[in-house]
Amino acid sequence: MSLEKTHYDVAILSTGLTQSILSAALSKANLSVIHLDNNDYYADQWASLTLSEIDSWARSRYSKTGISHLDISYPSSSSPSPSTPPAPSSDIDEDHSPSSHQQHESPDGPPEEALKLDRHYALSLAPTLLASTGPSIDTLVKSNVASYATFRLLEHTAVFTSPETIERVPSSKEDIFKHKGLGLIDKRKLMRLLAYAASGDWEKPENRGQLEAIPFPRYLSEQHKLPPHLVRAVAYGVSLSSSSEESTLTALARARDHLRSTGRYGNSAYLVGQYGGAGELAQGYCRASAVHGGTFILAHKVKSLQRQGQEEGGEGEVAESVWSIEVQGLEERITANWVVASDEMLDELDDSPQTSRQEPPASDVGGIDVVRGILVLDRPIDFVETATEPESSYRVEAEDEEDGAKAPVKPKTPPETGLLVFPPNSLEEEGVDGGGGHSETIMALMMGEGTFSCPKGQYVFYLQTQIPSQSPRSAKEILSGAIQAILKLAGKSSPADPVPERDGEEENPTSKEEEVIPILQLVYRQKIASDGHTRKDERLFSVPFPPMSTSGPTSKTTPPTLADLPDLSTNQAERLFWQIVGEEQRSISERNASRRKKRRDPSEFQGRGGRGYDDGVQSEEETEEEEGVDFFG
Amino acid sequence: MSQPEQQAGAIAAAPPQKPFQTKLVLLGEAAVGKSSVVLRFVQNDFQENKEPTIGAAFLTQKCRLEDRLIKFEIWDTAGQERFHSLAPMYYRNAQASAVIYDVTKASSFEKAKSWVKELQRQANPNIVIALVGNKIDLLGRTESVEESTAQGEEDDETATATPEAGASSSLRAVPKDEAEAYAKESGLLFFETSAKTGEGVVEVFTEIAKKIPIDLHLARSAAAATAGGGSGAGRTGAGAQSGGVDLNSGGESRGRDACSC
Ligand SMILES: Nc1nc2c(ncn2[C@@H]2O[C@H](COP(=O)(O)OP(=O)(O)O)[C@@H](O)[C@H]2O)c(=O)[nH]1
Ligand SMILES: [Mg+2]
Repeated sequence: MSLEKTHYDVAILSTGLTQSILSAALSKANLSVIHLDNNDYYADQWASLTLSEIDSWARSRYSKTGISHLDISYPSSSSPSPSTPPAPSSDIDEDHSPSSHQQHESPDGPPEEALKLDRHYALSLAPTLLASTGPSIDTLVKSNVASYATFRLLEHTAVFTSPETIERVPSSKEDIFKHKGLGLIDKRKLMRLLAYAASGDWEKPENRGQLEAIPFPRYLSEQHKLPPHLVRAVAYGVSLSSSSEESTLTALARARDHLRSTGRYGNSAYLVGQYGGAGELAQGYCRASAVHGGTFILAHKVKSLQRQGQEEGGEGEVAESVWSIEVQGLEERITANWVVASDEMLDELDDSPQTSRQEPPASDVGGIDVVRGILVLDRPIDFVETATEPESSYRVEAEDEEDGAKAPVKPKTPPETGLLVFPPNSLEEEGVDGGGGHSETIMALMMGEGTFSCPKGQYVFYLQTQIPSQSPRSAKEILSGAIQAILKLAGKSSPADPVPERDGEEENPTSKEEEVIPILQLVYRQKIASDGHTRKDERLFSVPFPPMSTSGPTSKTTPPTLADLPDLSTNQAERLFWQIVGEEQRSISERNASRRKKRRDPSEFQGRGGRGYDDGVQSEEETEEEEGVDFFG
Repeated sequence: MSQPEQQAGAIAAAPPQKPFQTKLVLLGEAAVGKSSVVLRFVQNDFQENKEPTIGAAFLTQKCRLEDRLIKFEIWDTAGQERFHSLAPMYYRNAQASAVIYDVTKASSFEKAKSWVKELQRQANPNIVIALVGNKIDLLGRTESVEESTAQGEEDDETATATPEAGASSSLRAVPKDEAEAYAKESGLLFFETSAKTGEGVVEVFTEIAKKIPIDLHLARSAAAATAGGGSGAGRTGAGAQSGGVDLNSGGESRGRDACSC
């Protein structure tokens, strides 16, 4: 195959979300873009995969750097009888010799019945929650990608409390107000706290220092006198703090964002993307890039990347050197002024000594691994029925309807989406084989058929937490407590029993529990890349995954939560965009934005009433927009 | 001029109805004229020797059919067909597809067959597929034959084997009856068109519109709406659907580009 042209302004390697957003923005700004990926699917480390794809992804990862302790199994099809617990399979360490890899590559692939519905699975390698306000949503709308990706509201958020109970988190003022399980005093305390978070007073310089120093849970119980269950709800259910040490300043900022987001699209601060989320967004941005002229080549291995002097450039121009890229299956080499690549694709090049990875300094964020888990179950956690006090508004309604009699209850809508947060150390007592406890927050995001993540009647649970890289604990050990808890909670909401009894306090959970065995269970640890080898002088950027926040001392050591990822990726893409098109363009863009604002609300700037485009007071120079490119103008 | 909108006829008094929105995806080898066919349908225009710039995620065109108003959301490949890079998102929820080949290029017909297979694998099982042989205007022009194509030669056999082709059609590389037979056995609609002259283009879309099981799709999405869930097959194109959130509804409005209606 051959290309129409071989020189491009920018060559992008990997179709991860950040690269895809960047690709669309650059194409839209009229730069020529060629976008390459070794894989035959979109979105690379952010991909949404079918069951068979994730199976081969997992098998290929045994040999990849960055991934360790990977363990994939299909317990429901491999265990001989449903009463036998899933057979223990030892985990795989990246340091093992090839021979020891062999023994783990069991012939057991996905079960037959599941493979028949293979294309109904969209299992995400980077599960995300999309905040309803913020850079990610804004960019989706501005770029028009929002019109071809689809979303759902996150329906439920609950916090786990040992043993086996979940407490639903009131997510808005309205929720708190209607909350039947909360005393009046607690309601007032909560309202006051949320009002403070929304006010932004905590951002004032005189408050910052103190708030930075105090961990959020302590702040909530000491300053706001919140009882323990509300500390849990606010710190882990609203602020989504990833550890009990998170600073109050960081957590309040998240609480404020949460409050701002709630209500924009419904009674939740978050959306979930359908068809696996991030992978679908990456596809959407790539399409947007193609529509504006970007060239896409998937499933072709990028073999080498070299600097090459360029001959042209007469008339006193300095002969510039460019990047020359060799792609398997393409006759000609591609040249580009800029290269933006994923760490992984740079690592997999055959040559390119110039991109050899520097070892991160010992003190670096290289010290943290993300721990991920994917479970596919045949039933959900019923966030409404399973939840205990506090939170009862739904339950009370249901009881009113029922009127005591065992009248046939109309089949309730099964929950589609829910976030279950396991606060630090909440699983200590669950201790299964070697202790299921974990000293950091574990998040579990549930996605049902309505999110197009899996076939009808099945539910995907994404688990995520973190661990210091030097810890020897396997991903399976770290997550086992949370996995056991999820299986037990799901056992309480058997879909075979569509009319769950509601006998109030008399309820005996063990009596109708059913053992739930996962259809798929995949766990692994993923090393957080250091900031990589950004070489602006040579016009080469590598994009670390996952994207990290650039500001704030605490965020440096904490991997992003599910809810941070989309915004961080968008910011990462925007930073790269301005570096490539030139920082001076950013200044022009900012000046133009403030001009547009002035035109829209002249009163705000001049203390006048009325609306108008131009009241004649501003000079041409002030209102006329400068010529320039924009990040999705 | 045969603008689809004007085939309305009969029911002028009917109250303005909400059009049934349907996603149609274009497929086919590069340069067979996919973009040109849509441009002809949507803007009644043709650009010689030039890839029409679409620059939009999709184009829309309404089409009136007896008592129904259908709004096509037409997705072009944006060049992503060239290197194995059409995303699953492209096929998602498509209720119709036009698989296009170039009647003067045999390889493009083979490619069309593989796109049909791909649709059967990836797309909604009820999808309506039209097989479209484009560039028939080239067939009548015997004098420009020699210089214009090299691939005409390797396909000489098939071309001359077509009885109705005759002397004036020495450029034809895909016999009409062969393509038609393939379409019939695979359950596809079949057309031959010229984006250049406009011949046959509107018919492709009106015949597709007639074949889309609108009632079935409407019933599905209604059922999905009450269930709160939704089945992939029941949803219409992009945008709001049952249980879904339309991001554009929650804040500042934005214009959908290239909406021609
Ligand atoms: N003669 C003739 N040329 C056509 C026709 N349709 C498209 N073309 C030309 O074929 C080339 C490729 O068309 P284009 O629409 O870009 O094809 P695409 O890659 O499938 O979208 C362009 O030069 C068009 O002008 C047609 O019906 N007749
Ligand atoms: Mg085209």
